[in-house]
Amino acid sequence: MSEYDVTPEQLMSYVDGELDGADLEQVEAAVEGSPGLEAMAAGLVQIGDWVRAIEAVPGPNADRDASLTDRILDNIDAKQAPTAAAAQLRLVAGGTHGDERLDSSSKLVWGVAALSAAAAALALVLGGAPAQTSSPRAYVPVVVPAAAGSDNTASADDEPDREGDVAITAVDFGTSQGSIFVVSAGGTSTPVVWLTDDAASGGGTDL
Amino acid sequence: MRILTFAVCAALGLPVLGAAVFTSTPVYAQPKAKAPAKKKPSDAKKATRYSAEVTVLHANNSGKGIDKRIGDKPELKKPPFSAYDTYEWIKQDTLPLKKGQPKTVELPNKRVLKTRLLDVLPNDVLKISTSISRPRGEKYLPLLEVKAKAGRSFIVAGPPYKGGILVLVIRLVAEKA
Repeated sequence: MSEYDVTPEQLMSYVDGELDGADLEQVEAAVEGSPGLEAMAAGLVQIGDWVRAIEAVPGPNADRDASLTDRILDNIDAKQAPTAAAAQLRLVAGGTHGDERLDSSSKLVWGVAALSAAAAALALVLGGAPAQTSSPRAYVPVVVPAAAGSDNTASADDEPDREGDVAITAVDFGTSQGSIFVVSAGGTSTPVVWLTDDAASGGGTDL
Repeated sequence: MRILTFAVCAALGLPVLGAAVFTSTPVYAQPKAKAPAKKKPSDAKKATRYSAEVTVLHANNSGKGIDKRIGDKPELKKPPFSAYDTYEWIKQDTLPLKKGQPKTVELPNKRVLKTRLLDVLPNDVLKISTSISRPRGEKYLPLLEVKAKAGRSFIVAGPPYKGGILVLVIRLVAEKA
């Protein structure tokens, strides 16, 4: 099997140790015979190492906040990833193995592609996930209760997000019922979340 | 070879790079460049401490008026708050707001209010989330996200309590170090 016959999927499977038998031997031979493929495989290994290092960061319940970001960045710095990346690029571009099946620009692309993919993977991980709610329910829309339909109330959505203001951006009432409105008094507008449930309306338990 | 190169680049999310090679556009490796100095997000926010000041009031119709400790809260004289003639000051708690460190406070009805700082935006604008749980841990108000400038308040009202309701006035506070 020549390098031309090795697909990216096969190479990734090879790096992940998922190949065996004849497939393993063929891809292994192709990688060993091609500096380009060797560089690509090295790049994929580097990606895996970085992702595993990030996943190993403690604090499974921590928010993706500044402290976690700091730890990730410090972890990357500690591994001197940029230095390793630069060395990888030089190896590919140098072409000292005498293998002419890859022209220099193509060899370079193998390395650049691997490193760019690594950066993309890191960006994906560092980008963080949106805040999760404790309930799969969608946020309820902002509504104005009938009892609050006077001149002193307004929908929170109608309030501009201007400096100095306060706005309710999301609400999940869960199994309760409630409404959102704004009370204007004393020159300020104050958002109000008014909860109503069976206990409140029926005068039952306080819990 | 170029076809293979293009396919690999495309698979890696680099179609533009692949196209560059395909059209024989030279692609040069960047020399070993020191990444720009990373400004850690926490650096600019260390100077200010943020907190949520939670004032718990008991609204009822016992004819006692508005407790003087509550201070000037003209909202309480407007509908629907004006439906109650009495506002008793029960307690006030200050919950420090730090990312990743949610804080809780127990309410008089044994429910638990939790606040969490989500983000600090420019000009001391904070984005926080709040929730209220029942004593057994069930969510009563699973999520309330608010974006507000420090110094501003919002109100959560309605939980029944001793013939009336609880009114929680939550004010965001910025304290310069």
